[in-house]
Formats: sequence, structure tokens, C-alpha cells
Amino acid sequence: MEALLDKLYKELKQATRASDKGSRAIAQRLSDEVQRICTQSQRIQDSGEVETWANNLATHRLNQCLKYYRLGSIKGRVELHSTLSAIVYRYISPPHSQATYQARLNLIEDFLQNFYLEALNAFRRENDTQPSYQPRTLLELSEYMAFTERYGKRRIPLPGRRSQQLIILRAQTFAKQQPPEATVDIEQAAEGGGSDSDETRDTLPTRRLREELVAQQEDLPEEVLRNRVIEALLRYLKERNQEDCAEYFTLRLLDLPTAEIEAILKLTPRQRDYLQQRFKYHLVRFALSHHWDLVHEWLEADLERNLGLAPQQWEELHASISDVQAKLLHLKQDGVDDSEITKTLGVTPTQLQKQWTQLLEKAWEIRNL
Amino acid sequence: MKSDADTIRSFLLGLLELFSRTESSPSGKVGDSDELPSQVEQSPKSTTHHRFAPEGSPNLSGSDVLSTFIHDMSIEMPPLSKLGDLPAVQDHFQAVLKRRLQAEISQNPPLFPWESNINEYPTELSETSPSPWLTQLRSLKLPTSLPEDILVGLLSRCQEVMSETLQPGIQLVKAVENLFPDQPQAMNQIAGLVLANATVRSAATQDVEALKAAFPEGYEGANPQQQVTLTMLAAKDILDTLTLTLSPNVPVIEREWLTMEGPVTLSAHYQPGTPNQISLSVNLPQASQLRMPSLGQIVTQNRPGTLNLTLPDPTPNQVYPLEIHFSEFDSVPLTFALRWMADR
Repeated sequence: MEALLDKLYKELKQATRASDKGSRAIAQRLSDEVQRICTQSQRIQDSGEVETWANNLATHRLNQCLKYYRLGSIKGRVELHSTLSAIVYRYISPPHSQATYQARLNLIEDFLQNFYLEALNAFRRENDTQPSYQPRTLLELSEYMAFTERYGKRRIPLPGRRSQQLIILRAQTFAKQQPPEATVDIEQAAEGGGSDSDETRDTLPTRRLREELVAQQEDLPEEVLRNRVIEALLRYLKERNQEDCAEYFTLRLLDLPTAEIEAILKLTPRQRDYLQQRFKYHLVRFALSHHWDLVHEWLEADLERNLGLAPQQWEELHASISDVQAKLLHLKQDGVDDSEITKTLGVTPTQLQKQWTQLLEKAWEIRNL
Repeated sequence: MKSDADTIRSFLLGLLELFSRTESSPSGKVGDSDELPSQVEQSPKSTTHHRFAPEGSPNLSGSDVLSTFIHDMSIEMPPLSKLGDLPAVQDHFQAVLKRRLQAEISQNPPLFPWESNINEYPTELSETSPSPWLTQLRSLKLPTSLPEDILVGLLSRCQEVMSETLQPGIQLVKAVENLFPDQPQAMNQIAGLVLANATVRSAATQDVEALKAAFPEGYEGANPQQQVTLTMLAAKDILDTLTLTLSPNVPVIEREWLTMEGPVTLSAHYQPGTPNQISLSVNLPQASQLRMPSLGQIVTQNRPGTLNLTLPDPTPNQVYPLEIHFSEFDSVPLTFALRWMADR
């Protein structure tokens, strides 16, 4: 494991202007943390790939630290503060009153001040520094900021095989909205067991979902499907430069009060109305052109009904499509499945999908002329 | 058993239904209009425009289409609070909010527990005792302060280039170039601007105040050209203060340099005669040593006070370094450069 320490040191030296001494101290602390995690985590020990894990965890930590280093003292803290604020936003609201955007931000400010102190103490404790240690160089500050982000995202196990991020549990306590399961001794979890911090796992939503899967067997498949639809819809909106629609959609799904949505998106009520209508327009488009077979069916515009086209429109469609598309339409109407069609037409599934979407778009235009 | 298609269909219908509701809108009707808002027609990427409710085609205008189809199947939408917990929603929400918050937070960045104000952090702590000379540099009139390590490097580099006789522009470039190895092209141009601006700048400190707004994120947030400019402005100040060029027209020069111990004041006085001589008088805030290496002269005192030195028969255009050393500090000396220019 000397090799890991050496690797971290060399990369720090190469990527920063820090001194030998400073780089070595930080490489040592990062390496110690990684060793500790690898030793304590049963999952890593059982994997038989301890070294790979150690390398991945170390690289992840190094990159976090360098990210803050490159941002510098001011941009770095803006990055950290906004990341953490966004995580706790939903959980922090004034007691006994309707939360507003600004009221939440003020509370978050207080909350994070406490949290930074907690993280500093955790840093001192876990790294065995002087009790009065405080970052004095840019690299040390970056190390602290990266540690604080990681510390906040640490997964704390809860009863029922579930887990929650430490900073969210803290935020719930702060807002006095502590759920019953948080009665687990957070302190203890934060110290030891929690240090199997799964940031590598957490970064992948699907993995996080899989974790949930294990916990709540019965609801899962539908949740997965809904998640997939939402992901597809968000992607669809972004591809069409409709970021604001995507943002509106997300905020609505979080059930935030209308006034708060307007404050976050900096919209007037009237602009928000427009956005809602625009979103609905795109939602319908999405449903039609992307999940067409499901949606065309309930719109009575499926293949049996000639895509909802009148006879003249149906001819018009045939006149405007390519030979390949005409064959495709024919095969689809005959109920031939897609894998057969790709073979018959000699195209890839992606090409097939593309041709089909184009065709549906044309039908859609003709229908609406 | 419900199929995946049922679930997706039910979910999409549920979403459509959700976004067709009007009650959440404080300012009138939403979702029951057949016309699209004009913004839709202007949407940048859309090359074709569609209307939803033409004659004889499926009516897609929100609530109508829903009332037709919803009763045919049961929509099983989970409560919104549950949708809000889906990873896709959570991840996107956090990204959206983070972008929004960044703008506000950068106006008012947070302080960490050990900080009382926001400072640049040095790349490295100086291994030796702190330099007493940096006090002067911390109060330079610049739109934003420079990081400590830059100041240390800059002061040392300026003192090196002072000992050579160079054009002012070249001197500036040489003073900062090793701090910016990636910016060789920008150097000469910026040096020209800094020199051209110098006369104007000293008369307009308000400009500096106004320029502060251009550096909301301090030195670290500035782009490379801005960093070069800031550093050159600092270098110009340092060189101007440390260089004393006497001539028959300018026979007396006084300078002050702030240190950790208090100000050092230096006055140089040209006295014509046979031979000509320059007498130096330096007031020092603590026990110090004054050296003029080219003459091999050293004068020392054990308490604060004034030290005097005389430079006899100065050679025109030659640079005479004058080193000041504080006895209690184990740091490099502060070096002034003295030059005599005979009139042509």
C-alpha cells in the first residue's frame, strides 16, 4: 500500500503548486482514509478485489480534492455551499409555516454554518490532527471542502436495510421534522460503520435505485418504470432546448408550492402559466413520438386505425415516405415484430427506430394540417 | 398482473392529468385552451409547428382528451411526494437548484468556522519566518488583493530585475513572466498598457474602486490576462517605490515602505561638489543593518532610529543596491536601487 501513497503524492505534486511537505501530508491522510474504509468494509473484503477498490476510492478522493483546488478558495466554497444547499433544501423548512424560497435559504445558511463546524471536527478526529487544526494553504482548504462534501453524503444505515445521507438526517433534526427511523444513533453510525461511504455507488442513480429495490421488493418494478419515463422525458426536453420545461416539471413533481416554484425559476405567475402549457405540449409530443405504441393506442391512432388518418391523408402519407419506410409501415401493420423487420429490411434496430419516428412525425403533421 | 405498458400508459396519463389541472394556477385558466401559447411556436429547435385540435383528428388539448380516455382505465398515480423521491427527479432537482443557488451564493460566499473574512489561501506556507516586508504589498491600490505566495514571489523577482538596467516594459515582463509561463504573447501587450495607464491611474483612485466590481471572485476568479494585468500593476508599484533615480533636476527623493514593525522611510539627497555625493538617511522601526554591497559599506544599530550612509562620486547610470535587514527577522533583505543620472 506504499504504492498508493506514492501515487497520490506524485499526482498531487503534478497537479498543484503545493510543497513536498504539504503534498505528502495530504497524500498520507487520503491514503489512510482509504485503507480504513477497505479494512472496515465487509463488502470490500468479500469482493476479493481490495486493491482495485482502494485505487478507485483513492482516485475519487484525489479528484474531488483537485476539483476544489482548481476552483480556488472562493469558487470552491460557492460550489460546496450550493451542492449541500441543494441536497438539504427539501428537508429544511420553517416549523409551523408555509416554506418560501427565501425563508428556506436563510435557514439553510444557519444549518450549514453548524455543519461546517461539525465537518471540521470530524476531519480533525478522523485524521488525528491537532485539536486546533485548521486549513492554512489552498490545498488544505481543498482537502477540507472535499472531505465536507463526502462527509455530508455519507450513508448512514437506518432500520429496515435502508440508509440515508448524513447531511439529510442532520437537516431533518435541524428542522425538527425528524422521522422516527432517525432515532438510530447517528453519532455512532457517523463514526464507524458509516465510513463505508458509498459515494462511488451513490453517484449512479440506477445503483441507488437497486439498493432501494432490495429494501422494498413489492413497489419496485413500477418505480423503476416511472423513473425511466421521467428520465426519458427529461432527456427529451433537454434535447429540444426546453430546459425550462424540464425544470418546471421537476419542481412540480416535488410538490413545491406554486409561489416557491415561481421564486426558484424567477418567473411571474403568468410566465409560469405559459410554461405549464408549453410543458404540456411537449409532454403530449413526447408521449406520441417516443412512446408511440403505448400512446397511439389510447389515442385511437394506432396502426389498425391507419394512425388515425383519413383515407386521403393515408394516401398522402404513402406519397411522402421513402420505400423503406413504406415497407416498414406495411410490416408493422401486418404485426411483424421488430427483430424480424430489421432482418427483412437489413437495418439495425436504431435505424429502424429512427425511420419509424420519422414516419410517425410525418403522419402527425399530415393529421394536423 | 399489470404489464409494463399499462404502468407506463397509466403514468403518462397521470402526468397529463396532473399538468392539465388549473387549480394550482393563481392567474387564470391553464390547460383548457385550444391555442398554444405563442412561446411554443417560437421554440427555437422546433422546425415544424403543430396544433393540437384540428377538425377530425384526435383532440389532444389536455383535459378533453383525458376525459375521453381516463374513464377507460384506472390511472394509478403515486402521490407526488413519492414521485419526488425518484432518483431521476432528485438528481435533476438538485442540479437545477444548485445552478440557481450558485448565482446568489457567489454574491455572498459563506465563511468557514475558522475564518473571519474571505482571503485567498497561499499555495504554500513559507517555511522560514514570515517576511516583514509584505505589509506594504498588502495595501497596494489594486482592484483585488493578490494571494500571499504571488506577492512573495513578485517582490523577490522585482528585486532581482532592479539590479539590471532595463527598459521599463522589459523590466515589467521580466518581473512577472515566471509566474505565467503559459502567457508569453499577452505579456508585452499588457506591459505596454500598464505603463501607458500608469500616469492616469495614480490620479484616479475611484477607478480602482469601480474596478473592484470586475473581480467578484478575487484574483483566483480572474482570467489569465486579468491575472497578468493585476500582477503587473503590483510589480509596477513595487519597482516604482524601490527604485530611486536621482539627477541634477531631481536631487532629493523620499520613499516609505510599510513593514510588520512599522514604516521604513528613506531619503536620498544628491550633493554636488568634488566629488559629487549622495547622502542616504534611513529611518528604521527596529534594530537593523544597512548594507551597500557595491561599496562594501555596512552600518548597524541596535534600536529603532536613523542610519546614514554616503555614496561618494556615483558613476552615472550604475545601479547601487541598498539592502535593509531587520536584525530580529531571518528573512531576505529589502533592497532599494539607487541610480544617478547625469544630465546630458
